[in-house]
Amino acid sequence: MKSKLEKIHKEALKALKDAKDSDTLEKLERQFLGRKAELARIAKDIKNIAKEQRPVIGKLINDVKRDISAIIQEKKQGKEFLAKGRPPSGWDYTLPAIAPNVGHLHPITQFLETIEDIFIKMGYEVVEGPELESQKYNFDLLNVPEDHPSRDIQDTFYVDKKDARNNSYVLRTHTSPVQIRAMKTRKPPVRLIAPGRVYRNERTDAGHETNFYQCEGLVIDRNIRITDLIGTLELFIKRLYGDNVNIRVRPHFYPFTEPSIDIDMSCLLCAGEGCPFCKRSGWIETLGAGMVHPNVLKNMKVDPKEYSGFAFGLGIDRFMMLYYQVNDIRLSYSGDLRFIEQF
Amino acid sequence: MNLPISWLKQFVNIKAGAQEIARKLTLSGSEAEKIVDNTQVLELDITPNRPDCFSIRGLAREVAALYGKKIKQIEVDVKESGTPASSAISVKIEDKRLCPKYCARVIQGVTVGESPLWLRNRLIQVNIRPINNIVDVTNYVMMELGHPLHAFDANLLNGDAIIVRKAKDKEKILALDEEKYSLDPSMLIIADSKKPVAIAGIMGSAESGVVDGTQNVILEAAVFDQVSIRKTSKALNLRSESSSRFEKGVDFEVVEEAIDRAAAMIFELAGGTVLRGIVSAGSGSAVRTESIKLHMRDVHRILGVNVSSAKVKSILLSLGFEVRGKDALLVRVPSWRAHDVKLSEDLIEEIGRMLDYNTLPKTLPFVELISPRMEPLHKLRRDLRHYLTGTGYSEILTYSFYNEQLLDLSGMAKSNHISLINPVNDEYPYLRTSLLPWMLDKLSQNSALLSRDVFQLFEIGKVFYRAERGNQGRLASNKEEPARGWPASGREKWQTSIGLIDVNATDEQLYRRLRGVVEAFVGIELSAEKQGKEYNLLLLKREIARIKIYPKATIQGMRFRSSAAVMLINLEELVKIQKKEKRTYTPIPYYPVIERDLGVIVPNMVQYIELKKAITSYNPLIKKLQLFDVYHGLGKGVSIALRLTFFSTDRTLESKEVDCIIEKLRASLEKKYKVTFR
Repeated sequence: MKSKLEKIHKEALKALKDAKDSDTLEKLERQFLGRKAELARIAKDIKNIAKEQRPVIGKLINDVKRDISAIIQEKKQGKEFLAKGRPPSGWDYTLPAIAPNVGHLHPITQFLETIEDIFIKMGYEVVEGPELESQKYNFDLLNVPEDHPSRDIQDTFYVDKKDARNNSYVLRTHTSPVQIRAMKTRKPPVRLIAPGRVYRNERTDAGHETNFYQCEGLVIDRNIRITDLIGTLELFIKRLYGDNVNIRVRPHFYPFTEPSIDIDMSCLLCAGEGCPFCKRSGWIETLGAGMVHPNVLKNMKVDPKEYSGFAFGLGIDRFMMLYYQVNDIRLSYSGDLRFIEQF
Repeated sequence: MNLPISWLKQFVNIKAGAQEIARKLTLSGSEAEKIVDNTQVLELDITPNRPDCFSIRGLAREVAALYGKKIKQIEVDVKESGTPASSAISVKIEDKRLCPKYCARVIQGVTVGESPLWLRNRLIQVNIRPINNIVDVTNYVMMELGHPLHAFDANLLNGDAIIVRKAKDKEKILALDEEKYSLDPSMLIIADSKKPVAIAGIMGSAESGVVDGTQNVILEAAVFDQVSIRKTSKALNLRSESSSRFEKGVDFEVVEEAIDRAAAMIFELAGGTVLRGIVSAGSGSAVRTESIKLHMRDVHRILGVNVSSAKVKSILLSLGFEVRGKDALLVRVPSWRAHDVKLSEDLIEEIGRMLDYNTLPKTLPFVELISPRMEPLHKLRRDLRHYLTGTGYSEILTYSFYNEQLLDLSGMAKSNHISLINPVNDEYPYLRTSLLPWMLDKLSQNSALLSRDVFQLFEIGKVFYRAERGNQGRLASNKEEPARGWPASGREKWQTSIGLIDVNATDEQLYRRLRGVVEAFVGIELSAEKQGKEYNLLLLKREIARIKIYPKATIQGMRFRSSAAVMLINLEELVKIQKKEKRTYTPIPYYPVIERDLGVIVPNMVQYIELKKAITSYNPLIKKLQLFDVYHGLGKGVSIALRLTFFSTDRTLESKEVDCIIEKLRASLEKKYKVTFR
């Protein structure tokens, strides 16, 4: 009996040594340790053995079992078996999950919310205004001259609805009129942003859309300085794109601010080295801003001698496209799930 | 505007290379977009408030100021001879507002030919095509000094009078671009005694232009009204280097210098005789340069840095301003900045940009720490957006306007639509009154692109509505209510559309799924009513949402594999409910709760709402009724599964008691509604 057990032990060790895959291993496990295995049969027959030998044989059976089982377990943990074979418990954890049915937020609104949250945390109020706007708010009160090119029908959508002064309403060309509307019911100090949809009468192509999104910002208080504007926008861009991004300030021109500036940020792809994406300049234009023009402050019933303020505007579409490297603005308004489901 | 480095260096003595100059100009407001022509030419993006920078000399002034250099003056020496020019021609301005100043010179006996290579190269560098020595000189001087000039062939004029007048109606001119333009009395022209020889400040006529063989030349340098030039140029759809400069505003004090410079160059390059003197009319300067008071404390207040008054002075002086005083400076604006520097803020910008904003410290506002308010409607939209994506709907954004075909799907009359006066390509002329049409369109579009059984989309956006008005401007009919949910005046409001397609669902299931979406969001069961082909969901008689179902292939031009259902949510109503709906806690029952399920087969004619009323009012111990399954496959009637919750607030209910109630309830329902039980 003893020699029989030793033979089984030896056979098992040899067979296990040669086992190279999990299928073989499982077969051997059944063969040596299964319910119909020889060991199991011997263990069953132990009652037929002389009483005094029983403990010895019993111990031997257990030892052999334990040893074979230990080798099998050890083998199963081995690299070759883990890598390809099915895991020991019998189900494949590498099969992907069946994802819960969740929808996708449009990347534009994801960006709008991210931008809103950055400013809300700095104490900015979110304010909204109408998309169908009077010329008075869209242009006049913002110090845009009567004959300014932006008022051309090639740039602005006019509608067949007129205000009390018999001027056609326009689809707002920027979110700036919300500044003026907000100030009708507020007194400085104010800190607000006005996100929303704006319109330009443009032939559409990869870089131009008739509908798109902007976010306007306005801060008015005593002693608001242009350095505050630059510092705020730098902080904003770093919160949005990360601390490695740098900004550059360029003087610019807008009718509603004086001084006016543009903010560039270091290219996201080449980090300022210069690449085709940033037209080799290393910089990407991101925001228009400036100190609120004294005429505009007066239109807000704010005394420019006592208060000063800054305003800025940014195109959400552009920020989103830069971030995800989307190369066609029209995709956002296509309603195409193949686009939306990527975000 | 192109800036050739060699031309620039003719005005400023600097050693810096193109890269360096490009950087400095960019950081002071004239953005260098590219460096071209073997690094010899900068392509600059000049902002419209700086007409002075549309010239080499103007840019040279900027560069000189940036490098602390002085700009070199041009020596102009016109070698005049012969008779006075005024004996050869006369000038008359009929409208001094549109043309405050007109100067002319006469050069006789020129030899028209090709310009020398250096001149042709310079013009090519600034994107101007060389023509002949006379025309090239006028263009050269325009690019150099920023003032547009024009040259006529004197022999081709009728008579010797130059008249600046408004065009007659339908007066024609064949311009230098070989196109025929029909003019009107709002347009200013330069004319001889018979006909127009130029559209003032925009383009000369082809018939009076200087060509090979021209002998006598009239040079024109004038000032034209900015707005008038812009309007004419737009009306004729004709732009030129000249018109773009006049539109932005020219320097009044350069007129004589420019005409003299051109005359001297023509004399040098084409010979001939420059007749004595300038023939001129008008002398006004429409833009007066004023002195501006600049307080140092305002400089500090706006820029946020303590610049010394000496530094401020030196910056302003370098840019050509005259400065007096110490703390309160009196600053006189040079003629070439008359168009854009008018306020002390404009001067502060000059100081800021010359300091280079990038060298200033970056600060954050010192403000009161306020917790900002959030508009309820803004918050509602955000919550709804996240709720809907959480329940499997994806967000789309579509245009705010649509075409006639989509208008038909809106359910709103054409007269209720506000339309665009100038749509792009006449494509989408109507402002959307509903998000429904585009939703259907996008459901269809995605169905064609993707082979899926289920599509779940939503959009949140503004819709626009015009109240119908009669002839007197009143509402067309007093009886007629404005469209649901809109105020009588009409305006814009927020809406949400939710679109659903499921190939495996019946129309009823689509309806109930959409209804469940809004009910779960609101947290209240809404009542429903059918109005025509639409289902309205109401709370306290106010319409919260509306559901419409479109069976397969019922909309022309759209393709769904099965029915499409769309729900429109009225966000402005929803936000009111949310404001009112304040939850209060109901104590959890102290005594045990007993639940019983009831399988009921309901005949088709019985509505759930009746059944519900009958059950909930049957016994006060029935505290809650919940529908948890519906099955249609019976042939007749609907099988529904209900869960009834019983409890008492003052004792422990016996199972027997509940069974007894159920027994009687069944009997009652059987009798009243002919229902059967499973």
